[in-house]
Formats: sequence, C-alpha cells, structure tokens
Amino acid sequence: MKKAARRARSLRLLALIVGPWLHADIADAATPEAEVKAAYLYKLASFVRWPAGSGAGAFRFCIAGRDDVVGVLQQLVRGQQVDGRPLAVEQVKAGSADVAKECQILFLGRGPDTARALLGATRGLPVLTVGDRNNGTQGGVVDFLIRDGHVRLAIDRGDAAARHLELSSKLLNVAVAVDP
Amino acid sequence: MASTGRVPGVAVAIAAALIALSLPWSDARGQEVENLRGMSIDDLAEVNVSSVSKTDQPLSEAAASIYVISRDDIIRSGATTLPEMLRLAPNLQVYQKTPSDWVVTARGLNGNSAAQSYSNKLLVLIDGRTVYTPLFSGVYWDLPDVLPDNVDRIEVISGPGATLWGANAVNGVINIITRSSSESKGLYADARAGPDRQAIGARISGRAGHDVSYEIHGRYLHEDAFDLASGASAHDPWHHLQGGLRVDWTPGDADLLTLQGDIFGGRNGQPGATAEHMSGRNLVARWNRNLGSAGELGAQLFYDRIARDSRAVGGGKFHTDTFDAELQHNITLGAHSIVWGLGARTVDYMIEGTPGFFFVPPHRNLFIANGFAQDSIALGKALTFTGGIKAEHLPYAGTSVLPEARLAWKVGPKTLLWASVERAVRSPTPFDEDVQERVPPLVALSGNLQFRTEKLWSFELGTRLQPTQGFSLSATAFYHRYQDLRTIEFGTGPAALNLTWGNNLKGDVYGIEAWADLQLSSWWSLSGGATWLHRDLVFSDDGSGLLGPTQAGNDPPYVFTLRSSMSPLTDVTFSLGARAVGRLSGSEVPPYAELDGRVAWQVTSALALSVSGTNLLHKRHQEYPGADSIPRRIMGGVELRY
Repeated sequence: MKKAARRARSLRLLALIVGPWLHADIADAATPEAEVKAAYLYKLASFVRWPAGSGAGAFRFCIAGRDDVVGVLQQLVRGQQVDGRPLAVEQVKAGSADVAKECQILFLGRGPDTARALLGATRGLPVLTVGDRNNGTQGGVVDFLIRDGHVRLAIDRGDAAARHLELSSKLLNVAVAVDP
Repeated sequence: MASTGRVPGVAVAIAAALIALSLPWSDARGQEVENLRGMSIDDLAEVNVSSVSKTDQPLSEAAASIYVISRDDIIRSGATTLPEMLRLAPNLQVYQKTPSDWVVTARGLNGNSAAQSYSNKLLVLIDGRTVYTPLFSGVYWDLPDVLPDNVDRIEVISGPGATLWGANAVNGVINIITRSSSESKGLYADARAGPDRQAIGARISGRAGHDVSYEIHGRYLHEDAFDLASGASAHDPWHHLQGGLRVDWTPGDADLLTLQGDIFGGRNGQPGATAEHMSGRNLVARWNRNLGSAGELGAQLFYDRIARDSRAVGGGKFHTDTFDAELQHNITLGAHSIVWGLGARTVDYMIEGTPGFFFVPPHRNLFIANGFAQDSIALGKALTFTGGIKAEHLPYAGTSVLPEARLAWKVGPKTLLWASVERAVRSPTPFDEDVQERVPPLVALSGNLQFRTEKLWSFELGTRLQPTQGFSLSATAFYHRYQDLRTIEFGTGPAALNLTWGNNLKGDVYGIEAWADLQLSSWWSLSGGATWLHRDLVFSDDGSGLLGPTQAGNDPPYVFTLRSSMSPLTDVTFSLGARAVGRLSGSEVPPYAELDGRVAWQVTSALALSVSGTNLLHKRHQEYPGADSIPRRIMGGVELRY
C-alpha cells in the first residue's frame, strides 16, 4: 500500500508535467484508501447472497460520489464474474433512484444528501448498501470506517434481513461492529 | 464500463492515445490491480503487518518467515490459552508439560530439563511489552493471559529479528496484538466449561465522548491435574485469574494514545504439597503520532512486575520489576523507507533462594539500552533491499552489534522470493552468571561470570506464492550457525563434583518451514504446515561433553499440521486441527498425532453455543521428556454479546 501511495504521488507529479491528459486515467492516481475500499466492494459480492431473481444480466456495482473508487473498481472487475454473471460498474447521483434500485451493491461514497436520497429510494429492496462513516454517509447495510489506519467494516444485520440479503458468517467475523 | 456508452468518438481516440502513452505505467498498474484482486477479505481488514519492518507492510511482501494467526483462526479453533493459540502457527513448535507449563520454540532448541536447559531464544511481546523473563530468558507461559476475543492478530516470525526487536529475538519473535477498545462495545461474556477445565471471561466496553473508548476485562482459568504415565493424577491443577483495562484516545486524526494494564494471580498445584503462587501486574502507555510527510512517531513506556513464590513446596521466591522506554520513527524518503529507534530498559530483581538453589548476589539491576536503524531501498519496481543494524548494551556482556541484510524480489504479481542474512545473540542472564546449586557433599554448580552471549548467524531463503485466488504457499529454507551455546563444564568448589556453565557447544541447525492455505469453496478452507529440522551440534575442543549435545534440546525431526475450517451453514462453523510430531531426538517421547476440534452455532447475533475438545485421539499422550501425560478434554461454551 505504501508503494501504491508513492506511485500515486509520482504520478501526480507527472500529471503536472504532461498536463491534464493523465487525469483521465483516474485510477492511476488512486490513494490506498480508495484501493482498499474498491477491493472491499469487489469482495463483498462473494460474501452476500441475494434473493433469487434479484436482477438479471450483469451484476451491478453502483457508486455515488467517488470517481477514484469507480476507477479502481473498473479495473478490478475487468474480465471477472460473480455466479457466472459479468460485472458492471456504474456511477449514480442523487437523482438516479431508478438506477440505484436495480443495483446489487450501492456504495454511498460521498455526499450525505445523496446518501439519504438513495438509501430512502432503495429501502427494503435487495440492494447491499455500503456507507462510509468517515464521509458522513453512514447507514448502509455495511459501513466503512477507519480505525488505526485500517479500513474496517460495521454491519447492520437488521437492515440486511429487511432487504432479504444473507450475510456469510465470515463477513460478520471480519466486521468490527455488528448491529443485530 | 457503463461510462463507455457516454464517451463520444473523439474521447475514445484520445483515450487510445493515452493508453499508448501510459503503457509503461499501465504494466505496473496491472500488477497492482492483480495484487489487490488477490487479497482476501481478511487481508483487506488486516492489511498492515507491523512486525518485520516495524512499519506497516502487506504480508505478501514481507521478506521473512512470518505467519499471522488471525483473530478468526483463534476464535474458530476454540484455542483458550496463549500457547494453544500459538499452536496455530506452523512455524512454531509447542509442547505442553503440565496444565500450566509449556515449551514454545521456533526452529528447535526446545531445551532439556535434565541439563537445566530451558527454551530461551524467543522474544515474546504482548502489545509491545516483553513477557520473557530476564532471569533466564525463557517465558513462564502460566503468567500472561489474553482473552481470545481481544486478540487482533498474532504475528509469528521464525528466525532472528534481532536488528529490530533486540537481544532475545534469536530463533523467533511472537508479537501478540490485541484490539483497540474502540473495536468492541457493550457486554461480552464467554464461558467454556467441562468436567476438568473451565475458562470464564467477560468484557465491558464503552465510549466516553467522541474520541475516548475504554474496556474492562477479566478471566478465570482452571485446569484440573493431568496424569502420570501410570494414569494416576499428577496433582498439578492450575488456576489463573486476571483483570485488565484499556483506554484508547484519538484526540485528532493524527494521534492515538493507549493506556492498558493487567493484574493477575495464579497457583500451580504440586504433588504432595500445597501450591506455587504467581502474581503480576503491568501498565503500558503508548503514543502514536502521524507526522504526515515527516513519517510516523511512536513512543511507549511500560512497567511490568512478575513474582513467583514456591516456598510452600520447598522452593524459593523471586520478583522482577521491569521499566522500559522506547521511541521509534518511520519515514519514507524517495526510494527509502527508514525506521530508527532507541530503547532503554531496567530490570530490578530479588531472588530469595534455598540452601540448594540460590543466586549470588540475590539482587541486581540489569540495564539494557539500544539504538537501531533500518532502511528498505526500492532498487526498482520489483527489487527491495533492506539493511539494518542495532547496537545493544547488554547486562554482563557489554555491547553487541547486530546487523541484518534482506533482499526481496517480486518476480511476478503473485510470487515473492527473498533471502536474508542476520546476526542475533542471547544475552547472558543471572541464571548463567550468578546461580549457585548445591547437593552437598556430592555436587555443586556455580554460574560463570565469564559466560558469553550465545551467538547466531542465520541464512534464509524463502518464497511466497499465490498461484490462484484460493491457494497460497509460503516456504523458507533456513541455515542457523550457532556459536557459544551453553554447556556444563567442570569447575571448582566445595563439593566432590563441581560444575559450572561454559560456552562450548556450536554447530548448525537447518531445515525447511512451509505452509499453505487452500480455499476449497466459499464455505471450506484447509491449511497445512510442515517443519523439518536437522541438528548438527558439536562440542568445541575445550568442552567437557557432559550430557551430550541433546542438552540444547530434544527436537523432533518434523512437525506437521493440518487444519480444516468449514461453515456448512451460515451460522455454523466446524473446525478441526490435527498435528503430527516426530520422535523427540534423544528421548523416550514417541512420535504422536493429536486432534483438536470445535463446533459452534451462532444462534442469534447475541448468543453463540459451542462444543470443543483438545487432544481427542488418545486417552492420554506425552509431549515432552519428563512431562505429564495429557488427557483428552471436552468443554461446552456459551458466548454472549449485548
């Protein structure tokens, strides 16, 4: 992770020299924090069971407010599958409630208002919402939080049950806080 | 992907040009993505590993024989005491002698009771506090206790870590790290009980304001006596009671302050007598500060007292008071990752001996001071060189210089090769220098004030592989060249046969340590480990050769472990841990295989039930020369969280 941070710094320097072009390749400038969160989102898919018939076609990761996480996640999902389904990463906004309802994993990366709107729009639906307590977007089935420089998970089992999502015990064991 | 749909043609052309431009970086990027994708969810949560370089580093890049026992491993296995938890590390050898007495080593040299040689080349730390006893450099495993649910992880390094960790880190370093009090909340209670074994622990955690979290915890352990080989009782039950507290304060994003302490007492039964009593207390204060681009600073102070009193069983008593201060700074400057630090420790002790076993003088103050620096230099994308040196002032022995060099080569995104050369020493102790033993008029043994440090040059070659997502492998070949190991020599004195210590054993210990994890499916994982060990120790020309080279230990040629962990249903876990240990060389202890197991059911988020058993295969078995026969034991468990 340290190396990644160093790389990120050196790439930012390059961006100054080469000009704004390199900014298009957002993921290259991703911080370790964004990398780890993107990796968590990618991994979550294998620790949660969605109710049968939830969503057809691609398995959809939707992300609000974090372009850097989108960038890393796009690279992570490239060529990968979950339960034989291809993976798609989409950006969503406060107004994209209809899109959000069709997502399997919805990461509320930044913007408390957006988070509230999307949480409200997906209430009770089989969408694994992921909040970020350090960015004021808590309240997901899973929330990221930073402890001692580690990205950790808090889990709301009640919300998971209300959304008919089955969480593996492995995931519950990894979490630092589990709400019944 | 979805964005591709919105990208107009011109942008696509620009993107293509960009891809062409950034090709050299894309390669490296691809490698990083591969690494990230290959990390398990545990890796992500536990992404930092502080032991090897005293700075955070992903395990897959650590150039050392390091195994991390995760919290999950500990909980699933049902391991109750610290040595049982350590049994989960394939690079340690763990032997139980009595309910309270254990021997733990890495890379052999497990000691020999007949020669009064006690395993003494391991550095064991709990949250940065050393728990080996400076009187003989060994660990009294019946003193430290940690609530299993409080363990964050245990990092086990086999091989020396002297440059960073100091003078007792000869054959290994065990770094037990407990969780911050901010990671638990409410009430936790864990009761495990069987007819002959009970462990009852509890913890209350809470928050005071936004930045302060605290916890109070306690545990009572009791184990009934083991058996003699005949099947009769060995009359050596063990009781241990400990209470502790921890406060973590994060006044800002950059600072973390921790205050933690324990107080404990215990007693060991002895045949035909009452008991030996143990007690202790400790307090640790730690401050970590993130200085941004100027790195990270850590400062720690601790006080630790242990005492044992065996006068009731015809022995003596002693206590040690340890005060320790350490400072450490990590900084990254360009291609260099530097860590340096200073430390000082004083140990004040008082030994009240018996006419047959005493120390002259009975009281001393041991002073240890050190300074160290280590630099990891990125020599390119894939190659990292680490060089370090420590100068340490040791009691009795003056100053030792402990250098290290490591090379790590990331051959591919999932393949690491590494090599190391390192020097380590075991510092002389009061038991080497000041001890006096008398069996008048026949035998007397006197410590040797000229006793020197025991020295090691270690050479290692290792690899870490993760060929597929669900499979990882680590293997290390090591070659240890020892000098000046302790021996028994003829001396002068009042008895017919007078003995003293010498430094006349030397030679090689070499072998292989390997372990692998295999994720068979989303609900079943297997992990296996193996160590093979060969010893070639000889006496120097001045040596008496008394008691032979096995006085350094009766080590088995191999130890194999296999663990299976299953979650066939969401809320049920089923784990088994098997081990096979070869015949202890030069002893009557035969090879054996044993099995531990646990089934647990998470009934609700607040309640879990379990049944666990240890040493299930035999009615009783022996693990160490002269030790008890260990019976099979079963416990039922209830775990509550509110």
